[in-house]
Amino acid sequence: MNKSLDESVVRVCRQGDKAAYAVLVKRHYRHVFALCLGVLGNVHDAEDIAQEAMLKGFLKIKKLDKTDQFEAWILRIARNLCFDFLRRQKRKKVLFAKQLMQPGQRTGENHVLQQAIRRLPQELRVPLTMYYFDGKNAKTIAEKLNISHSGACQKIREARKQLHELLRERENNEK
Amino acid sequence: MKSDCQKIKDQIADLVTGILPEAQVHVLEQHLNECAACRDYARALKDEDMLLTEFFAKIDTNITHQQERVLQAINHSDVSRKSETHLIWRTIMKSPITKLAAAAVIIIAVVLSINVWDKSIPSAYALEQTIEANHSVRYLHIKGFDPSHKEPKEYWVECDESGKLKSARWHMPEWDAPEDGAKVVVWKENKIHLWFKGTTKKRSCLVTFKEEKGADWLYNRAQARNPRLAVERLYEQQAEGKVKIEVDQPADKAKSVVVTVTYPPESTKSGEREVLFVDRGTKLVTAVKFYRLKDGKYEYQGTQEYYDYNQPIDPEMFDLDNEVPADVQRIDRDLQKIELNKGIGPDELEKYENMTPKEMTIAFFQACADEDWDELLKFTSDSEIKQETKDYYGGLEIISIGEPFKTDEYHGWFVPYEIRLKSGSIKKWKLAVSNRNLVQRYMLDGGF
Repeated sequence: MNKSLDESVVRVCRQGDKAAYAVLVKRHYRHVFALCLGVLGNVHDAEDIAQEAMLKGFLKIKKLDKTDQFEAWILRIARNLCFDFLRRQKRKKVLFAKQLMQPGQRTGENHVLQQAIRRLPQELRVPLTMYYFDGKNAKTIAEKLNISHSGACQKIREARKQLHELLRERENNEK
Repeated sequence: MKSDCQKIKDQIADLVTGILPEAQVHVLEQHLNECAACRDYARALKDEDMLLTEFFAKIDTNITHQQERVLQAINHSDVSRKSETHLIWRTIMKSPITKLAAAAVIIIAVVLSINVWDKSIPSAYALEQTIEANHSVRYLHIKGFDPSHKEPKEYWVECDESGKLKSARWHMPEWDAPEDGAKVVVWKENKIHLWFKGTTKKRSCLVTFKEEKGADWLYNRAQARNPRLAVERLYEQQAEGKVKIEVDQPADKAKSVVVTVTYPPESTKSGEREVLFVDRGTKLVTAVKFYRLKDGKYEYQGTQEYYDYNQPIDPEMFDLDNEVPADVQRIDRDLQKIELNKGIGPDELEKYENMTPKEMTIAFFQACADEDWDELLKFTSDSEIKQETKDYYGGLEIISIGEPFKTDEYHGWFVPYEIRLKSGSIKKWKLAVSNRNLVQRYMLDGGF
């Protein structure tokens, strides 16, 4: 049903209708942002890239042939933009840790948690972030990441276990 | 933790994350009852689950604002021109010859355009443009964010043609007043409808009243959130030199104009700073961020976001009667007020309103002595006097009424009394009287 709604909205958007695209932004921005946050592990960068992805989606929507595949398509755009961004960052030799320590950023519990999340491998961080940010539904995460339901569950489980170890490690270091 | 407990860890992670199949939950719970190490592990994971939920929920509060920014960027984009320009540019840059030619064309174009530059630059933003744009605003949806809470306060306002507030609706989250719980308030036709959604201790109820002090307070709050009035006020204050206003108009047209308002030391709002974000196209305020000076730095205090300018609000939003579930208790304070002043004519009202605690007590017992039960009802919230009360107190004799006194535990007054009942027995006690009621005059609260 959701796909068929997207399909009809996408058709209108292809005529350049900005108001119709607003519907797609409302429906999909959250998922796009969650993916970017998972890949990049940084809220500010995720905001920038998610917004860039949505804008790019609008500018390129005429190229979307399978009009019922908007979600997969926009997530692909977002993922590619994230990887471009990471490549650029790597060239600039900016370390993840430095990105995290932005001035004015909150310290304390949130900061420790954020750092631990950042230290998770990307293939676990993405499903974990999407799971917590996007309604705690492993099935929809599986659809969005194009993996099996059991595969999504496995990744979320592994992410939780590793995150626990990272937090415990941090706690022990502080003692 | 036993060696086979390592396998249980997977299940615990699944249980806490809510993805453990139902059939395995019971078996795992049994194991948790028996194994302290696994219980600790489960507890730690549960705590982390809460932390993760809260952490991502905090990030989530900004999503609507981000979506608005995407939509603004899209509204300012030109699909066909942008993509065509992009293609042409890519074609030029592919060849070194066309690159050089393009560079030459740009240099010539820059030289030629210097003479007409002044005419072609866009006009700068001015506060008056926002005031002008606000003149046509009739409907508005506002969200107020507090940095320490996830759920925002929400407001919907409807104005008349002159911009005066017509109706308003507020959503107050529980954190605003935990003792009251979450509330919805509707102000319409000078009447307040207040829906207490209830807490674990208090039941949900809908209270309505008219012309109370609260009406003015709510009206003022809604007016303060009206961006039209807020911006006009800023404009006047700027003209009088009472505020410092800086306008930043980024080169990127997709970005908002940022108006920073700083209050100087001599101002009543000294140390405060407001940052207004103004939409380039509509010239309307989309958000205001509030800061306060502390230890030489401006500390973030909260944000107010403005949405849905001029999108008509469903009239149902200002009608709680239909929205509040039928089983919720309804209290009409106006009716209650009429009920409390039952039997008192308009000419007599002043007399009862001016009674002191002692005078009220004397009048109260005199009504018992005279067996004037209609008169007695004027001092109680009861709808009738019970027969056993009439039998017990009817025809009493007042021996003495003492001087009223107060205690720390009770907000009202205690008035000592000594009466002789019809049976001949003497009762010596104190009447509790209070004016903390809807009609704000002294009435019986206890001790009778």
